[in-house]
Amino acid sequence: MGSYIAKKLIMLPLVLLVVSFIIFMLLRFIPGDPARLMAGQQATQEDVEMMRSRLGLDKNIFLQYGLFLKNAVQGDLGSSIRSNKPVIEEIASRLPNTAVLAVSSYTIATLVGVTAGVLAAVFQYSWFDQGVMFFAILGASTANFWLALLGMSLFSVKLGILPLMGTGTWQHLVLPTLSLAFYPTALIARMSRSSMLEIIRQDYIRTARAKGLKETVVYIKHALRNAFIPIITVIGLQFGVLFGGAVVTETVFSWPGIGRLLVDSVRYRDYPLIQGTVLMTVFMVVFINFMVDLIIVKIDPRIRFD
Amino acid sequence: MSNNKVKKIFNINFLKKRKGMVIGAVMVIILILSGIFAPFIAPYDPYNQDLGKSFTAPNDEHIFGTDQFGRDIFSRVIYGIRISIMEIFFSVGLSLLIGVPLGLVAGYFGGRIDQMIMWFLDIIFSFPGILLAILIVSILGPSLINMLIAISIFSVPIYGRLSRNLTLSLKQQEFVLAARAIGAKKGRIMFKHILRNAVAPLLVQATLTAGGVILSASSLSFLGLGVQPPIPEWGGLIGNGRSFIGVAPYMSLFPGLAITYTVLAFNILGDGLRDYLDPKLKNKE
Repeated sequence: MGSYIAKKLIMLPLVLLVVSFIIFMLLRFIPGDPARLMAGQQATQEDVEMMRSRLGLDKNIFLQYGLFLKNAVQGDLGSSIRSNKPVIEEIASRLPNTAVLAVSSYTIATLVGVTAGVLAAVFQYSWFDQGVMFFAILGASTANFWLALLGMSLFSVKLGILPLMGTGTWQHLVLPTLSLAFYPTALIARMSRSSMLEIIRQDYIRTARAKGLKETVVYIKHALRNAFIPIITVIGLQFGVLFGGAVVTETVFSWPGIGRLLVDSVRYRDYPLIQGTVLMTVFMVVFINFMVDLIIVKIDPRIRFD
Repeated sequence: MSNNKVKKIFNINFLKKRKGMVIGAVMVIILILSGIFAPFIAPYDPYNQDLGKSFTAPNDEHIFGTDQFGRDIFSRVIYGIRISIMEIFFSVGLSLLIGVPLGLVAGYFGGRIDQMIMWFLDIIFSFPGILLAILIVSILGPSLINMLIAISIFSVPIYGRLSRNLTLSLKQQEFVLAARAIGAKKGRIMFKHILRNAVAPLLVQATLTAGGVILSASSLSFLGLGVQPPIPEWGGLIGNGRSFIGVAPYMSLFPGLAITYTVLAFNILGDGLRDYLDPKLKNKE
């Protein structure tokens, strides 16, 4: 187990390094003078020269990357062209909003998805099972921004019971959370069902029943515990998907989070901000996936000894 | 496909047992035919503006209503099928073209090469798809083709991984050993013997990914980072309708239904194909 975690621990900074290098390099592919791009359209010649020396553009590309890394580690991701504020400040002011949205959607998706999926497996072929499967297939086939607009049109415009957009109260959170949770809920429900179905057919479940254990004990203590391993993997992987979905959901609801920051920065060609936002988001997703790996190792002894 | 299998497909009892595959296939065929015959189905030119008729709610003349320029939404949705089908073929094709050779090489040669390729694919995979696409679009500029390149790149690891795993098990099979024994070249073994036997699972994966392509493409176009107006892309249509959600909700409603129909069709077909080609999996899902 130790060596497995050690391997993962060594890989983590390596992956982050390569990811940051890719992001750094990609933005150097934009045709034109990177110093001018980074300084913005309205920059004077002087500003551009200052940016050039700050980015070290006269040096070779690896030195430039080194400089970028050094600055990044010290919390300096450059300044936004549009607002002139440091990128790190822009991100920090938006992050809590995205976190609230992501955590609430994640919680709902997990609770509803796992419960529905497990119950569907226990009552296989019942109307409940069929309903869950129908919902799961539909949920995986629906565009979340469309669903968000439908919700807006019904609950905000027609019925007027929920605010149209923005933040502030818990009511503001309802529509964004639900529309963002829809897709992962469907996937988690489906995965939970199939994982549980597989476990129920195992010999040790038959043994548990043969021992005369109560059905609830068999399901909760014997089956569920083992069914959780693939479920947790899927739930963990959903975090990246959720972040991607947040980009769209935040734009629909004018939710002032990281996703909308990114879309706006692309629209205004605010390259330092694009670079910083993508970097931070990918780092978070990679880190969360790493944590999920650790949790799986902890609960699945088979991996430890592989 | 052997003669036997062709016969099987036209056997009613065989089809009855595979309801999912048939429903999915019929849905996809209807979609493709509607795209091909769009000029005959759509009552109006999808680009034709008629400002006197802007924001017409659905009625007998315009069954899906009209947008702010008086363009017929039904006609735009129908022509949008062509864009979507194009998106699927281009994007799935490009990611297969890059992913499959990488996977074949990784699986066949193993060792260092395998490690390097898989590591590279894992790195791409660690980016949330839409984020990578936004990054690429921000560099190349928003357009249909750039969006499709961006979407293709993030599907590459899926095909790479799958074809690697298929190669790993196929290269132990007797027909590959036999080919090797008679001195067939490595390239020939990989791209002829192994690839031919990996086509079915790759096809299933491609069908299952097709829906994802539509969802990603429409998301990007919705954000204004993909297909640009006035091209009638479904995500773009919904994005356009967003500004008028208070006065004309039907502007977003119908293109969204088209997306759901299309993604559903490919998902059902993909599930059905997988059950058919790998019955062991059937009870799991």
